[in-house]
Amino acid sequence: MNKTFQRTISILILTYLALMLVGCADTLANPSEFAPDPGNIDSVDPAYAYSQATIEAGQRQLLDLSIKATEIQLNMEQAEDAAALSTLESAQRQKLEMDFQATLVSQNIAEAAATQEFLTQQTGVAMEATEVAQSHAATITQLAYQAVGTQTAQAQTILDSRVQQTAQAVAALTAYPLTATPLAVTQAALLMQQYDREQQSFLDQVVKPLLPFIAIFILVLFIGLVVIANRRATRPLPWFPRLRDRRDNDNSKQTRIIDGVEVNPNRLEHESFQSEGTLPDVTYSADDNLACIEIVKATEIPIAHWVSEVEGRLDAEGRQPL
Amino acid sequence: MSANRYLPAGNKIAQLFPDVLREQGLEPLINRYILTETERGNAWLFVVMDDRIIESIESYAAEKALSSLSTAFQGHPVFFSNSNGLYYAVLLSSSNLPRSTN
Repeated sequence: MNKTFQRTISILILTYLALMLVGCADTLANPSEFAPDPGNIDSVDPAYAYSQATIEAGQRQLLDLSIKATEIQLNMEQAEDAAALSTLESAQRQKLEMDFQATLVSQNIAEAAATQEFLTQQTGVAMEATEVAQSHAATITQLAYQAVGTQTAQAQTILDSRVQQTAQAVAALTAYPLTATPLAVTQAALLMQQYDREQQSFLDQVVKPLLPFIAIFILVLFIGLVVIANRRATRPLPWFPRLRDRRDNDNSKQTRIIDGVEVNPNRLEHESFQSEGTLPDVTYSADDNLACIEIVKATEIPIAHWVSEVEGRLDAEGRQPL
Repeated sequence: MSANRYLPAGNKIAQLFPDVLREQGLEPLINRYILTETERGNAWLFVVMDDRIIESIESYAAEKALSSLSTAFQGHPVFFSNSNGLYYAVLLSSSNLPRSTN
């Protein structure tokens, strides 16, 4: 509203100034008609001059005003432009700031995303690295264990070698004084001679006197062994009763339980055998070794079964019992 | 009647029995000699063998071994049984047995 009003006023002022300029131009083109007579200066009308002066002053003022208006307009336009520019710049700055902030935010977001991805990748890498490290650690532990075992064995070997070397060194140091000098050689020879003499003395004083006794003892022992072997060969061994013939037993005086009665077999053989004429002719004497025969009733078990079986087989073969 | 009268004959057979087995290549693994007389009047000498002969029982029960035993005992019948135990049975009483020529 204000702008429209100001523009309208400006147009009117400019129109008025244009009319004033046209009038001034006509006056300047015909100066005689309107210029006062120089000889008649005293005759110039003061009002005119005043008016002229007023007009001129007014024109100057108008010109000034026009210039000022123009300047104002220009200033106004500039101000408008400036204001618009300022607003635009402000908006642009704000936009730039917002864009910048958005950019910053985007950058932050991108950075955050990149950071997150980076962290994810780093986590994966870290896990893989952890697994690899664990694997390497296990391998290294195994290798270390093997190395320790190997080193222990080597150390033991070295220790054994050192012990052997020490023993050799001790032996060398012990033997060295014995042979290193002529005196030591002589001493060693004397010691050996003394040792040989002691041995010979022991043989002469202890062993040789005992030799006859030892020989006699061995001879007696040999004779005893021969006698024992001869007796063993002529008489059966007592610890093989089952393999021996039972007649080898000295049962001549053995008594038997027959039907609950203690019986002398030597007497039985002479009393009973003579009455049994069906048996083979066998000569018995009191010195015969008799086997231990049990007399059992035929009704007892398992004798009854045995009797039944063998008599059945006997009948089957056609033999007739007595 | 008591079986005592067969005791001398049983003794003699008992003396010969291990030797005859040895002659046949058999080990005389004898546990007991049992003499009994049945109601029929038969006198039997049972030679009870050890259970270890079960490893070669065929040899002990072979007809050759039984024949050799019977021959050694002047023709007395000899049986081998593995029922109710492992034993030889020698019949001591028999009227038709051959007599010794000695």
